[in-house]
Amino acid sequence: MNRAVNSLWAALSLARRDLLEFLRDRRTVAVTLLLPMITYPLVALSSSLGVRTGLKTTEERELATPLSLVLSGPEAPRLATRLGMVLLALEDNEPSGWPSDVFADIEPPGRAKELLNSGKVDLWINVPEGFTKELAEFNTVNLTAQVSEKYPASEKTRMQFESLINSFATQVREERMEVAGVPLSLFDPIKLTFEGKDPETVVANQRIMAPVAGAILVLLSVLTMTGSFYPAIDAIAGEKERGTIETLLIVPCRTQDIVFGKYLAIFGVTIATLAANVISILLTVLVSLRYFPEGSTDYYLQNIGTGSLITLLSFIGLASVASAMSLAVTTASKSVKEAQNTLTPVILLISALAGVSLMPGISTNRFVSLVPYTGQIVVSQNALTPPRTEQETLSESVQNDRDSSLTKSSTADILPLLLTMLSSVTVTWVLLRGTSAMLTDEDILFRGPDAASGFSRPAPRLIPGIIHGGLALALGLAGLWYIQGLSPDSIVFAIPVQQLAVIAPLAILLLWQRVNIKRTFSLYWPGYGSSWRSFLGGLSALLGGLLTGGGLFILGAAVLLEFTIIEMSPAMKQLSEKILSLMLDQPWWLAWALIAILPACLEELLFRGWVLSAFCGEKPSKQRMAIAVFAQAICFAIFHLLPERMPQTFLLGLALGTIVLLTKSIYPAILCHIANNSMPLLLLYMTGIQDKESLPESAATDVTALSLPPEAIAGAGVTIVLGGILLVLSRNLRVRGSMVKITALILLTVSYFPTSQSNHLLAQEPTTQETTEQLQVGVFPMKGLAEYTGDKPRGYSIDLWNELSKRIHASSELVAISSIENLFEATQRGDIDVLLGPLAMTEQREKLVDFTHPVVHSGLQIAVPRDRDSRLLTALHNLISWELISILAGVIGTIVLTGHLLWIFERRHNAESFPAPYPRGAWEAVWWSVSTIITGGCENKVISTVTGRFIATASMIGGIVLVALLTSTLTTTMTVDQVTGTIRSPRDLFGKTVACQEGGVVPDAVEDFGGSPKLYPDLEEMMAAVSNEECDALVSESHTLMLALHTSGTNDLRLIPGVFDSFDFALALPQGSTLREPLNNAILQMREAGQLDEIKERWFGEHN
Amino acid sequence: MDRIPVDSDGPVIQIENLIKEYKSSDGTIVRAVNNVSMSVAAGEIVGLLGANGAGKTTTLRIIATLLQPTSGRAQVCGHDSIADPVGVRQSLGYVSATTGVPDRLTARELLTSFGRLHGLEEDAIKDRLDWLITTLSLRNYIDRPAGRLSSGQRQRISLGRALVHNPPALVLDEPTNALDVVGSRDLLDTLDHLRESGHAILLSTHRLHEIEHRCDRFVIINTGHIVAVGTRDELVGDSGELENAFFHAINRGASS
Repeated sequence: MNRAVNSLWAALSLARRDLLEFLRDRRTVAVTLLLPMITYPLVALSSSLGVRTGLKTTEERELATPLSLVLSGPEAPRLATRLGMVLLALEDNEPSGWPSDVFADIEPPGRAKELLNSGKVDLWINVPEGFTKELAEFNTVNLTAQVSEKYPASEKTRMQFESLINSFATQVREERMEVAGVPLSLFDPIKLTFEGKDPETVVANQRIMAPVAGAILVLLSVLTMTGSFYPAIDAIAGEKERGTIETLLIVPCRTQDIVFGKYLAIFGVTIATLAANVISILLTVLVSLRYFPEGSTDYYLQNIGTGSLITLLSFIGLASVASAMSLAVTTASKSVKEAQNTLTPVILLISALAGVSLMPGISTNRFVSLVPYTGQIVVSQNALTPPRTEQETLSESVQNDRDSSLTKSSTADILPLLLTMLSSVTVTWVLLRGTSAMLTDEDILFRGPDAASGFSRPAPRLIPGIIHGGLALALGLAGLWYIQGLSPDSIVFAIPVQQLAVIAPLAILLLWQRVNIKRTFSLYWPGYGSSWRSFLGGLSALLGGLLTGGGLFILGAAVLLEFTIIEMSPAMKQLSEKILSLMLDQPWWLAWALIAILPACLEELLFRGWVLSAFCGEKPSKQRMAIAVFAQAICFAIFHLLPERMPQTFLLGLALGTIVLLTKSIYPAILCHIANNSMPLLLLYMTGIQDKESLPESAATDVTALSLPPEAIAGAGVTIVLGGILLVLSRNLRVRGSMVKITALILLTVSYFPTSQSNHLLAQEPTTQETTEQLQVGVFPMKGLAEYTGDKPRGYSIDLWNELSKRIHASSELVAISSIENLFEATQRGDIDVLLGPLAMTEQREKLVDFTHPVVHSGLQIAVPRDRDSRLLTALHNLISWELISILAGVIGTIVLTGHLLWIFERRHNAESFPAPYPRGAWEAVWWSVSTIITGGCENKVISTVTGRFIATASMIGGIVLVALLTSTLTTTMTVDQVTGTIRSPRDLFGKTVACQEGGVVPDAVEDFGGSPKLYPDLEEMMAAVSNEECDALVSESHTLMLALHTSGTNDLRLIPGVFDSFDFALALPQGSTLREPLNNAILQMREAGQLDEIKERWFGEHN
Repeated sequence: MDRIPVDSDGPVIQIENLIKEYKSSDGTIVRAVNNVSMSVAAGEIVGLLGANGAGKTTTLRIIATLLQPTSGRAQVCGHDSIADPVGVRQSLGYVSATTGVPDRLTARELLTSFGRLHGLEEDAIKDRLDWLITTLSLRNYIDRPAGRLSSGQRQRISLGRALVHNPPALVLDEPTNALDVVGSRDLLDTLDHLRESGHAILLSTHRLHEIEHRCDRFVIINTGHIVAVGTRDELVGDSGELENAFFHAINRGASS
């Protein structure tokens, strides 16, 4: 009899008992079964309505609008008549892009222009003289439509006018053919029509499905969680209140078994909730399917078998996590009310985790499947959505830098499923272990709920506690993060504002928690002992700090430059440029104060003062000190936000922390920090650079072009060693000898320092000029190809030509010609002997020039505006709509209103649940209402009056409707967003305005995809046009585009992965040029030798 | 009535030098039970008397393995509450003023489930149930959900729950607190029967008159200390009434 009862048996019999108890609770049954039965049909109905309205508003944007024209010139009435005839002839048979109505005014040119510029008409057509005559004589008439400068006609207006004129032209063409006696069929040999499904709707359907499925899965996960609430509250908190939990703890079973039994019972109810939900979803889907045309849903149902199985399995995992989580939360609470209070934030957390799965692109990260809630939903979502077309899969996998084999196959679904099941089991196990420990916790079990402990100011202490240290850091980091969005553009103000944001939480903490200021911030003179000894020791420590700081900067910079450890991000570039201009444009003292003094003082007070003391504790061991220094250095590095700066700041943090602990004073550290931050300024003044123009060309944009002479690095090393010796000596001033040493060292360094830094810091390329008379080589200035930024052009084309000219033993002169057309003309005229491009080899061009062998193979690539905010922010931004806010306001309003109504009717009869005094009673009633809407009920309140029950019922049903509304609003927003979405591949260029370089092959390619090209002289202007949303996208040759995006440092554009329309690129020669043969040989040789690739790598390689 | 099996001749419940300390919310250590030693033999009812906050409940919870003692030890039937809590739980029935019964279960369901949790066979549970129904007169309401019963009836079910595995020791923490005069008398009468069948019963209360003549011995504690031990006669002495003796002992303990 002395052995514990068999674990599984005990757990099972407890689960059986608890389940029996749950099932007798009507509310549990109602939440479990009825809620889902009502929710899903409502969600389905409202989302389908929402999506339809959303799509409709999108279509409205495409709707036809009236077109108003003003015509001038002597023959204007004729054109007007002809256009009228066109309109008449067409009747209902309007081509696409047709205006809803056409108004044409005839005015003298002066008045016409006035009308145009006042925005009263869209276009002004000055009809050329001889218009009718030219038409009659079978000539082409040039018609110019003038667009207003102030109120430029939209793309749609232009298309409408074009459509009108095209119909006119067709009419004229037909007339001419009639006159010439040519049958109309001559120009229409084939007539093509599509029959069957409209492709647009199929695509739209496909895109709707995924977000809707995602949203439903999120709802399912939250409702599953809700299913575990009641049993959990009842099973632990309820038993605590009824006093039955003690009786369970004195049965001869292990606590784990009791917890496991409870878990099993809750899991059972949760699974039943899940089942009810799933059944309801399936029925809803079955009903919805009837509204779709036959066969149109096959596409997404193709995965439904395995998909459903995987979904079910992962949601069983989710149910398990939900049960264990509810159990843990309720176990930690002392009463039912407390349990409900804690569950409310938990469900918000869960909703957040579940909602994360709706974020675009999240599903491709396979580690997401390990995150509870998010993982299970993502896995199910992936399993349910049909395989994507190969191209989409490919581009997405390139985009996310993952192997494409993981996207779709049966094994691809199994791995995430296994991962998520593993995570579910682990999380459940951990939660149950925690619950077991908590269940027997004497405090939670037997002590009553805590009396509300006031928010009283803590007692003074010597130094801040470790929590205070972490708090100052966390709040400081939050301050820094938020202030980024608010801080002024001017760096003169931005630096103090940022520093204040970091330090402000510390100031508030200091007011709250009284500490010994002197001890906490180590505000001591760094020397000790008798006055002269203390003076000398302190001096030594301060000088040591100063030297170490200066040396560390040089060393850190050298390491960073030497290994180019990290590629500079645009943000970093922007920062360095801002700092550079601060140093150059502002007086030295202001720059110095902002860059060195202010940050050094404030950051030292925070990190080496407050945080280091907090981390060390009052009497730290050596090990504790080491950990503290390390930890604060990591925090210090994190505070610098940009990854490029972290290694250097981490090292600096280590050094500064060590200095403070070594000298027991913050002053050497402050000096060290000041010295470190002053170095860039000092170096700049030593090199004598006064303004940006005198900087070496490359330095401003490309730090990697800088290098440090070895003497500087050696000097920095020596300086650090000296500083270190001085710092150590300052604490060991025992013997007279060491004082002599220190004095000598100080003298030595003082004399050494100014001479040690060489002013050859910024190494410049020597410039040589060679000009002889010879081959005229045409180049097209373009970033990466031929850059005319320095004294001498640099770039891919230049390197290529240097090598080629060596091989054909020719000397040459470079001639820059700024447009491709001019280049071709010059080549044709023979002004140019070789045309460096490289140029795409097209049939059309081959008629104009001779091409060499191809030197490079490349294609076109698309760049689109980057969403200015992060994806999350965009998603959030889209979500915050008036609709959502009004629904939220509705929810809050309903809660408050219901609460008050209930209180009014209940207070006389039910003072226990709803006390009569106003604020308290109403508060209790509002609380009831919140619990009912969020968690579906409120255990410890009874509603006794008939009116009260009526109100309560209405509020419960209202709660369900509100939840459904909220969900459908979310779904709608996201769905519409996806459908009207962005450019992902060349096919999406259809109907978009695309920036192209004029003269190249790009405009044709864009037109092939149905985009309307807009021409610009160069890539910079194209990028600008996309940045300011003049164009939807730009298309250009892939290598130069990547390089341009990279070097311009712009953050506005994003490359769409994948290259299309690939071409061979070659050099062009005048037709019949004798250079073709030797150049072809040279190119072949270079290819053999791998030089072609090498040059390409040099200029474009690292950006690929 | 069944005699209950008692393994050894020694006391069924025994505690030695028991100390229990709490950390109060302002951080100071409070000693709720201070060096308490006592024992209960088979067939004996011992009354643990004391004012509210004297340390009665803490002592009994330590015996029932619900709390861990700071030092000292508690044994039931030779099982140590720390080393062998399962053994203690096998040999002990525990009822307190706060232990309740689930509202939505019938007494039969409750008792059956606790029988299972104690590892009893289904047949044994049925036999025990019959015995409990007779002993505790549960017949009239055995199949009704406990939520609709009176507090006296519920306390009987609670006692039945504590007795379902026929433990040699019974620990009752103010079991009559929520009961009216009739209810407490019924309950105490039942305890008399249980004593006769050989159970060792430790009972705490502050309603002295109810148990004055029922307990074999009394232990009086005040602020965690034992201030008096003895039979009624020993304690009462000249004072005539147990209540007087109780106050006398407490005052003496407080002044010493």
